[in-house]
Amino acid sequence: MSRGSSAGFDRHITIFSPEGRVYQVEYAFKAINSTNLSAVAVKGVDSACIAVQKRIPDKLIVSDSVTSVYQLTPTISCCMLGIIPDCKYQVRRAQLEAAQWKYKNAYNMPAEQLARRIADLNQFYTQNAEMRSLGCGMLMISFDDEDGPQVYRIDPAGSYRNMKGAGLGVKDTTIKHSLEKKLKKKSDFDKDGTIQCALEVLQESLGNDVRASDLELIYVTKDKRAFNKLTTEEIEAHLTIIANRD
Amino acid sequence: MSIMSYNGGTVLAMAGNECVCIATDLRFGEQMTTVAVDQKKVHKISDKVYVGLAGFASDAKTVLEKINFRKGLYELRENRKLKPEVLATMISNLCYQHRFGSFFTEPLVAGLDPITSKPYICAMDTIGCIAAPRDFVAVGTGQEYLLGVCETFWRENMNADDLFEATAQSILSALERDAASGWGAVVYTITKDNVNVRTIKARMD
Repeated sequence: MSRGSSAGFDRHITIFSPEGRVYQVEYAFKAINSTNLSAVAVKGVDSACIAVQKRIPDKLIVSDSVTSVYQLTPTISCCMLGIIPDCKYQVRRAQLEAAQWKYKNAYNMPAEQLARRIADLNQFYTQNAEMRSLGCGMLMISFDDEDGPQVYRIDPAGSYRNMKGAGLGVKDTTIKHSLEKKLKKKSDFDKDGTIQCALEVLQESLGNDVRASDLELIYVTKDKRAFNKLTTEEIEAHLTIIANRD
Repeated sequence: MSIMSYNGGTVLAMAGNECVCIATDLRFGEQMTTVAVDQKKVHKISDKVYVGLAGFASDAKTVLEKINFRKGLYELRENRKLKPEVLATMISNLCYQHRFGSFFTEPLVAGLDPITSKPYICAMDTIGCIAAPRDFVAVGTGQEYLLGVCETFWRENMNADDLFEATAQSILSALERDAASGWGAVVYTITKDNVNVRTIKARMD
């Protein structure tokens, strides 16, 4: 590729480099890994779940206040990884967008619409000089009335995809390969199967010494569409079943 | 023709010992014509907090949608249930924001604190001035008829059954007198264990 001359500013703001890359967006992707955490989302026949690593960065922090999982609407939950204030901003924005949709249209915003809205906002930042991209990625789960369980992955570049299974964070490539292998064999999980698949994939990618207290897990099913978070004991029970299976 | 009596409707709330009662009539009219006979003016905002909106029905519906919008965001962001005092302040601020182009509806909030079960009732004017007495509040076209009757029936520290009786009898007498309200009443009795909904047959006009 011919090297055009750039004055060196293509790394500083959201403009193209001569090779056709937008460095700022690439840096935003790197920012997702800044907290060194990973997350997996899987969907089954009538359930979807997200398993995410939990790490308390400082012994003085109250452990209950550290979380990467959030509820966006009565039917949509999400996990956000990356720069924490950016994550919290995007969650608040998503909650607001969904609430405004419900106010205007009198029905709950479907996950696909919300994912698209968040993605469009992310794209806006990549084309505007005055606002940088947010250094965070989102995995969104929902049980949709028409389409059943949904998993969406939204990244800082502004793309969103409906996924059968998705990974986010430092180990996302490892998670991706793990998921491809697992889902090729079986993808019609029930609720426990979905949870165990997510936990297994996360365990394999992080190394098998992950304890239940280092994990957070949320799930949605047809009957329980709101944010359902497993307690440490319940996660422990699932991990035990996985261990006994092997 | 007054905009506040175009659709008609009356709401009453009374407070007792760890319980509140909120009652509504069911008539929905367009001046003299009755258009519907099953329109409640009381709505559940959360398990123990109910809001009543009398006055111009179109604005009542809009204000209710705005209340639900704000309540949804509050509960998601703060991760806790709304207290009735907080809801009253939210509605008051909402109304005063439209000080010079107000919603033609008088809101009424009744409920129990989600943790302490302390009763709270209040009523507001169209621009959100809160009046929160200990005993009873009334809004709507039958408001004046209600206040005198409530004064007689209300006592301190009534239990849920007595409170229901007092509320039911009061709203019935208002429905008898007020031409723009009627077609039966629905009374919600909110206690710390459950919410009892009872429909009362009155003169169906």
